[in-house]
Amino acid sequence: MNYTLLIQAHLTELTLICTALIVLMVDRLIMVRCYPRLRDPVAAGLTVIGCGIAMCGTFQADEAIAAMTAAVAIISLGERFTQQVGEYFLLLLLAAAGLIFMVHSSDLLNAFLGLETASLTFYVLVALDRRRAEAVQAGFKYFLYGGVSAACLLYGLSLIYGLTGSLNFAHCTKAFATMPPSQMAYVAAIMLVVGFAFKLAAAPFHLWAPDVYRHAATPVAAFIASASKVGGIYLLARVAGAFQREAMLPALVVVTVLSLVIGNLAAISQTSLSRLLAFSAVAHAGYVLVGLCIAPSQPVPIAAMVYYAVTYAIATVGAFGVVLALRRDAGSDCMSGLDGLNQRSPALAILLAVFVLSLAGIPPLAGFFGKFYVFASALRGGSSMTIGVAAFAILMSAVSLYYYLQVLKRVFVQPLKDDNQPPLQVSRVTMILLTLLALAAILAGLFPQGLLQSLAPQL
Amino acid sequence: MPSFIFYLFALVTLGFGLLVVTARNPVTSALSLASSFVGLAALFISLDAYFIGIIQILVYAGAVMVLFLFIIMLMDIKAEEGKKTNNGALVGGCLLAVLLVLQVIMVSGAFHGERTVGDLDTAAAIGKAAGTELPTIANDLREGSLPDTKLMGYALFDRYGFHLQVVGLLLLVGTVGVVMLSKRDTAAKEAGN
Repeated sequence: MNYTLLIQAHLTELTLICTALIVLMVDRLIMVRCYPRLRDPVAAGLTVIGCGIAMCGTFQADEAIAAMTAAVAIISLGERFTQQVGEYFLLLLLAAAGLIFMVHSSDLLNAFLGLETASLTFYVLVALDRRRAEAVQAGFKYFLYGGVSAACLLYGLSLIYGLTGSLNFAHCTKAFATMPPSQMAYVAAIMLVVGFAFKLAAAPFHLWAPDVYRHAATPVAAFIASASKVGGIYLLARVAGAFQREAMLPALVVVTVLSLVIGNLAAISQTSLSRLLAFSAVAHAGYVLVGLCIAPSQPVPIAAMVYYAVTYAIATVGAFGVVLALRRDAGSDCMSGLDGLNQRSPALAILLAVFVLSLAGIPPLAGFFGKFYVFASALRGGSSMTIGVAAFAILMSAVSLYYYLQVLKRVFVQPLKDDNQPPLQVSRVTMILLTLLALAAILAGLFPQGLLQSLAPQL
Repeated sequence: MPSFIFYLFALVTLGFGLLVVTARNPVTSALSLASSFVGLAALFISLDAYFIGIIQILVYAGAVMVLFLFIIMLMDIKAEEGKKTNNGALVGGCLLAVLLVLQVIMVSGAFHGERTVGDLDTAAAIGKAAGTELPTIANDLREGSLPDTKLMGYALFDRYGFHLQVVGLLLLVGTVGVVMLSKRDTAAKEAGN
């Protein structure tokens, strides 16, 4: 084993792991005793610097994960849900490292290890705020479901190993290309789809998502909704590329259609913004899976799917930033708290509009091109079934406009209930971050080719 | 007569394994599990996998079982004794077991024991590095050396050496997580008062 090559290949993860250890040591050895007031800013600052170093170079899926981690670290500033500041940022960075291990892996075993490292971190992060019983309950639920889904995924991987004798992506592709799809391949495909559907919160394995998004600390929810989606979608696309897609197609179509229906219809009746974002995450998992419901002879549109995931992550982190501001102001993120937001804080209202419209997929914004590329790849040379799935997804994104515009109606049209309400206070750092994210959503929409090309060469 | 020994230890493994799930007293379950591990270790040794057999006894029947017994000691074991069997779970479990057996039969039917591209590459690389022929169990046995420790070493620290490091990261996350969740949080205390 050549360690120099290995270190070069995994420099991003090593940077993040080293930063994590430095953050913990600085926090525990210096900050706790000498400057307890500065613990948050110093730990978050070190995290952002570490992610910044890790992001040097091209912008691909791994750099996108590091960028999301930095954004979440900035949102976490001033959130007092735990006393264990150093450990919190350590876990954030280790989760990012696990996700990037997964993105960089050349074999399924390593990808699984990275995925489980990140998942284990998420379970702990969700249950971190132990003052609230709901957070602990959500974390425990997530842990139980996650354990079962990891078992399914591992079982699917073991069947792949049984069929091909290897877990390497290249070997699997070669071996599966010469093999007719057997019954075992179908079982393995179902297990893989179940495992990944859970990680991506696709229906019918989405039951953990509303609880986790609602009850976990807001930055944690933002992190789970953004970085883990980018990593999970990238890995699923690669696995689908290495596996027999004929065997995978039936299970994928079922999960895709169910996610589109359940996500979009359940989102309509939600009364809290974070639960709405949870069901919108289910729906978005459905949209991006349309990219895999293509004819088996077609190559997997990895670049389009990762572009979708990255633009979705940008808009979701932004939307969670607004949830955070609402929660700090009113103590909850009820939809009624949005009433007349335009009068209380016009800047925040405009930012929220950008994020929500990007999630809805309105043309000049990034979300539109994400959907466009994914649906176009499904429509290109597909069979009647794949075209049907894509058409259904387009129909469902029209349905989704209803609840996204409902949010905007409350912000811009609904009058303030009480005219004496003070203007909404948002910290300057959060405001700058949200502005940057909104700019990213607009620029990625205006120049989609740039981001797409930058994401492509890795593939 | 190896087949007789195989059936004897297979019976020991399965019998004690059944006792693990049916016994009402957790200590009986734990000790049955240890006995089941001993039977399994004997099966490994009968396959010439001495190293795995010995590790099975040392680590599983020894260290892990002691941990199990400690935990049982710390918990209230009376609660489990009076519980009634959940028939639905019983049927579901049996169904799952049957499905698993069917799948194992189907996979072993589809897999003809041939070495694939990936295995051959690695084996050839190891053989070249060591300057000998392929370090398969058969070759090592012909040389009269104990084979499986070497194979385990190669597998663990060469082929899966990098994976082992990632597992280290996983354990770090687990350790930090347990400490975080079980530590007394001063903020939680204030909120409780």
